Amino acid sequence: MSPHERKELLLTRGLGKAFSAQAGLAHTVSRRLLRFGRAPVRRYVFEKVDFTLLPGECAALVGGNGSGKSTFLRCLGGIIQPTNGEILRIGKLSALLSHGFGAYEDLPVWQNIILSQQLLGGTLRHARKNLAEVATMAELSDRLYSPTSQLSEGMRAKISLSALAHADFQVALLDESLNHVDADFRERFFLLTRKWLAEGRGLVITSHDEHLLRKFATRQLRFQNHTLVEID
Amino acid sequence: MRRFRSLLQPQAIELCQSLLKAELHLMEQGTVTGFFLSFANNVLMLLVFHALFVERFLLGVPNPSVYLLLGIVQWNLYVNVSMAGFSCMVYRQKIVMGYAFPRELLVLARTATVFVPYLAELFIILCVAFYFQMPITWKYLLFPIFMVAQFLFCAGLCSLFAIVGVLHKNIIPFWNVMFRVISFATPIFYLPGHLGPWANIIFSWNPFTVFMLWIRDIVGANGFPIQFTVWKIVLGSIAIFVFGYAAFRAAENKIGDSL
Repeated sequence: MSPHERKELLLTRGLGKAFSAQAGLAHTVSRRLLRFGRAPVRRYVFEKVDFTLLPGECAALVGGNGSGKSTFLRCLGGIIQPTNGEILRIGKLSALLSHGFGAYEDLPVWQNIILSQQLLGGTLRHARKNLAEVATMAELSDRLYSPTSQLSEGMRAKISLSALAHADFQVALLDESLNHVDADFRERFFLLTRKWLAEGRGLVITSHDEHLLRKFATRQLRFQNHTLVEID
Repeated sequence: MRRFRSLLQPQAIELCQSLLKAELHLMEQGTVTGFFLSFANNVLMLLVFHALFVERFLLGVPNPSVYLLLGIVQWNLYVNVSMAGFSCMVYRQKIVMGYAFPRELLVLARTATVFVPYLAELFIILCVAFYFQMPITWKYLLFPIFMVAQFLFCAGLCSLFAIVGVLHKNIIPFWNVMFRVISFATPIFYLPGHLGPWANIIFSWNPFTVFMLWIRDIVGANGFPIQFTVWKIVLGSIAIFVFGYAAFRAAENKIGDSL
């Protein structure tokens, strides 16, 4: 079946990710020489993960710290490469990982909002047009000319999510992005996600807030013994 | 090749421009005063070099100030390119790890960021050259080719340094030592002819020297004494760019793991 005939938005087969067990030291010249060409010791975060995201699905990944949720999302988003397995991305992807908003702390907020939209795949024209709407949705219209460094974590998360709401995507990956936002914004964002799911888009989210995930998710998965299992 | 073509799409060019704008804004706080303060650094170096080296190494050079300034500005460009390369992924970790976008755009934007003040500095030096009534020759026509070749060369270097800055940080101290050695093998404050004909072999294989001599030749400040042609430099620059880009793409997959 060709990718265009598939109905899945995202598909992984036998996905595994391992990191060097000797972080930092593994790359030094002396270490490399001492290994005499032998492969470095590796530790698998997860392996043999088969995952499918269908249109209209919101998959929530749960698990403790270090269980592999963020690493899995980064693999899906193409931020890092898996060690084994394959990923088939059929829908246009927008990743929103590790609160990327505000990379240029000294720039005014409006400039970072435009940049953020462009990094999510939008054109400059589109980003400029949506600037006011993004700021209104994030309730930060009066802070557009302030330095980004003055924004709290919650404000940054709200802008990131508002920028995502104005992006063109079929699959969005949210890595603990909803943790810092207030209840009112969360409720508005929840209604928006329902609309997206009805349109046939897909979401993959992670959080430690199980109540939040139960509300947003249409299915929940947990990392257990280095693999992903469905929660009934 | 498909990925490289995607960099030429309007969306990618716009993103690169926005990144450049953001980087420029942060550099010297985006102010004219900031730029002049950093140019003052070059002038200070010129004064020191002038006092120390003109009598010793540049006797008979008609405009030693222009000769020295061109050397200093060129060398500072390479210093800035290496610093920009080493830090570009690490300093912008937030967007590198937060969004899926072609990361080479960040490298190109950082290279361009270093180039903008360099161009402004060159403009000032040209004004100084005109003030000293240095002749305007047909060689100025080569200026755009020089700039393109040098940008490609610097972008290639910046791509290599970007990988090193993330994946092989331990090489940076070695490079710093090497860079110091290369700085003495580059005629920043002396005439290439002073070291004898054997040194020409080193100079012709040192790309930093090649560009330095070329710009001095364009401005008419004792450049181009060694035998090489423009097309060789252009081809060499393209080769370094392609090599740097290919190396960056090959190693890019590991960048996320190391940041």
